[in-house]
Amino acid sequence: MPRQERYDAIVVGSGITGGWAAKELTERGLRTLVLEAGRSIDPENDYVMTTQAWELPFRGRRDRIKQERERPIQRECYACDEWSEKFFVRDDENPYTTEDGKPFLWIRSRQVGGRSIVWGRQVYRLSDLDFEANARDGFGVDWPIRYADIEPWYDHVERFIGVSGQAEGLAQLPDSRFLPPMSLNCAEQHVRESLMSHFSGERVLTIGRCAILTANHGGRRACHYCGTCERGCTTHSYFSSLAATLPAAAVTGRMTLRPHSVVHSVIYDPTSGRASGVRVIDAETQETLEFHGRVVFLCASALESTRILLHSATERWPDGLANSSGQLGHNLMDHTMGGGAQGNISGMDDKWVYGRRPNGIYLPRFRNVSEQHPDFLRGYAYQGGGSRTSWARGNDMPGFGADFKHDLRAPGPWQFRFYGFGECLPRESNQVTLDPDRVDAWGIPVLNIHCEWSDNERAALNDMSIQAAEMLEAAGASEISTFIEDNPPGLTIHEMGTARMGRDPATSVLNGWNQSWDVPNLFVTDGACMTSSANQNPSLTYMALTARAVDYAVKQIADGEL
Amino acid sequence: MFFTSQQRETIEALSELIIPTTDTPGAITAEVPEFIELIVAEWYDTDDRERFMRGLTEVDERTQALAGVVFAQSGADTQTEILSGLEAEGRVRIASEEDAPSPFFQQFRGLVLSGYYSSEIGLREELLYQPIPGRFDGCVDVSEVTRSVSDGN
Ligand SMILES: Cc1cc2nc3c(=O)[nH]c(=O)nc-3n(C[C@H](O)[C@H](O)[C@H](O)COP(=O)(O)OP(=O)(O)OC[C@H]3O[C@@H](n4cnc5c(N)ncnc54)[C@H](O)[C@@H]3O)c2cc1C
Ligand code: SF4
Repeated sequence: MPRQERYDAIVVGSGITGGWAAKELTERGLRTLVLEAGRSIDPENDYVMTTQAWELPFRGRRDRIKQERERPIQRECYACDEWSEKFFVRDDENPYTTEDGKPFLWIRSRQVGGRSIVWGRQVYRLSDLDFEANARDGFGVDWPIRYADIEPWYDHVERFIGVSGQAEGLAQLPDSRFLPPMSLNCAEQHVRESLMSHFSGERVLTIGRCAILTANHGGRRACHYCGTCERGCTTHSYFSSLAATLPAAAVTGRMTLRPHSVVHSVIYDPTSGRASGVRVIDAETQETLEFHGRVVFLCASALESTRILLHSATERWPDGLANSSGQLGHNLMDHTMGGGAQGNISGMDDKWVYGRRPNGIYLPRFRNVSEQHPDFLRGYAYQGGGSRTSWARGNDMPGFGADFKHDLRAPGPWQFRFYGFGECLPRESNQVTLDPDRVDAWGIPVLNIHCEWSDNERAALNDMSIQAAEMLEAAGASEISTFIEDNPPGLTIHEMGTARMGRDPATSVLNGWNQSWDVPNLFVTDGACMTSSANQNPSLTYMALTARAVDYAVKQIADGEL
Repeated sequence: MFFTSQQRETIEALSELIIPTTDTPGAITAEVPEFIELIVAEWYDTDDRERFMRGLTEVDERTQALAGVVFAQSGADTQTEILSGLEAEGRVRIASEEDAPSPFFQQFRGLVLSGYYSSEIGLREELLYQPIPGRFDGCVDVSEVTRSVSDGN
């Protein structure tokens, strides 16, 4: 008989969404157990923000052979470098399968804090253009919510995490509750002004909206612009669950955080028709444990939460728990990325920046906002920005010797780059299933992931690069070059869907409160719930949906419904 | 020890020729040759390593043919002539063969640059060392920040 413990609530995962669930549940009085598969992270010892390049064996070039062996997939992520690779999973312990020639790059962290330690911190609200998209063009099912339903929860989340940015009053990208914006640099300001006049206000270049403090906030210190966030921030200036939500939950005295706890499955009690708890494998001892609670929140990241449900099949739901709709595992999405252009911006040679801004620019969606584009549905937005080239331009310059060295000391010409991120349509054929032939290091069946881009995504990528060049031209850039990268799905690290929300239990897994239609005390609040992808970085929406779902669940408990 | 002492001398001479000691220390003081040895021995794949070793041998062969001594032993003018020749040939190859691996000069110079600008000397003495800028200003006069700040710290 495995050991058993009882809590009011169980949260699976301690990343961006798990941290929010823990904070909101404990602050509302629930004794909450947070189960995290990975190890604890101690910022004092594990963060490497003060480690200098010359202190690393390969000077930041990464240990190529070690990465090939341990992290052949994770290393495709820009942030999995010689400093930060330890914050990413080992692929040999966490395998998954794909068909030949159809790669999906699944970039993950297993640790207290999840991917919030290495994330890019970009946060954007969705709008009704996004929440109405499926209903408008018929791809996927209709979102069960609209902007008005989530707006107060965006407010709630932003007040706590701290979001710096500039209000622009755009309907397709609602403003957040902002801390002061970081400044645009001279080149970006120039491009912003050129676009404003050339596209009569339709294309608005704004500073990136990011969960980085530009002023002291909620006991955390303002950013000091060291610029290397992925190594961890010992002043807690960017939002992570480790720096913000988990400490808030701990302060209540009602959180029990258990690392090294790999959730194996949700335990379903057929008598009550509820989830009674979860089964856990202790990652250090391999012991099987059971934990019980009144409500279960799955926050293990989109595909991990779906994997847990698929692996919790019962007699009643042989294809996965809470899957009476048959939609569990389907409608996997990621954003496309990498259509764009770059060019040189002349003049301003006497101008430069001071400090390293951990943020770029954002150019919100302008396609299919008022008129329908003939080639594709939905839209895309750009990130990127202006910078002066560094010593690395020496690789493309003629010469060597004293003059060459001296030239490289000064900053090079201003360059500007637009890098697009596009919406992905929800399609049933993009899906995850359990692979019957393979298990991970803890004996749990792994996912088989099938995901492909469609012509719609490719057409938008193509347009991204054409429009980027056109905007650079409008800004008077020279030596403009376009690109369309061939990035496989997954690499944008906005994987989502596979347990979608909807209005109808016959076609969706979750209702409008992230609650399972089939198992009422089971909630899934990470990216699995997404009904469409929009084109904005999604984590802010996951956080707001999580806080909203907790509020609902706690009220349901108070009303005796749960 | 991966290189022979003759190879090491050639690498030292080449590195210092590319990033010499000026008002700041050059490649040798910044231990760029040691970095190159590590990358060639423990980071490169077989193709890159073979290409590097062939190129290195050719440097000495060319110098022998031209001046009757190995590269490290030859005079400054000879060294500059050899290196300039290699650079020009490399540029022609890059222009004519797209996606070809970089020719020896460009390969070697790339190693020197990444080794130098990730060394303590490169980052603290040659470039502006600014671990905690404390603020961000998007448009200042260059005179306020005369040197490149490496974003890698
Ligand atoms: C380099 C990088 C840059 C990014 N940039 C951005 C950005 O700018 N903006 C943005 O919106 N998003 C960004 N993302 C994506 C963002 O990190 C994720 O959307 C977000 O972390 C998802 O939150 P989550 O709680 O669902 O999952 P995670 O934060 O990944 O946390 C999931 C946690 O669950 C744990 N877990 C998994 N399985 C189990 C199990 N079986 N039992 C127990 N625990 C389990 C994991 O160990 C992990 O700690 C980025 C990601 C990366 C890697
Ligand atoms: S740039 Fe700012 S937020 Fe990022 S690590 Fe440095 S201080 Fe922290």
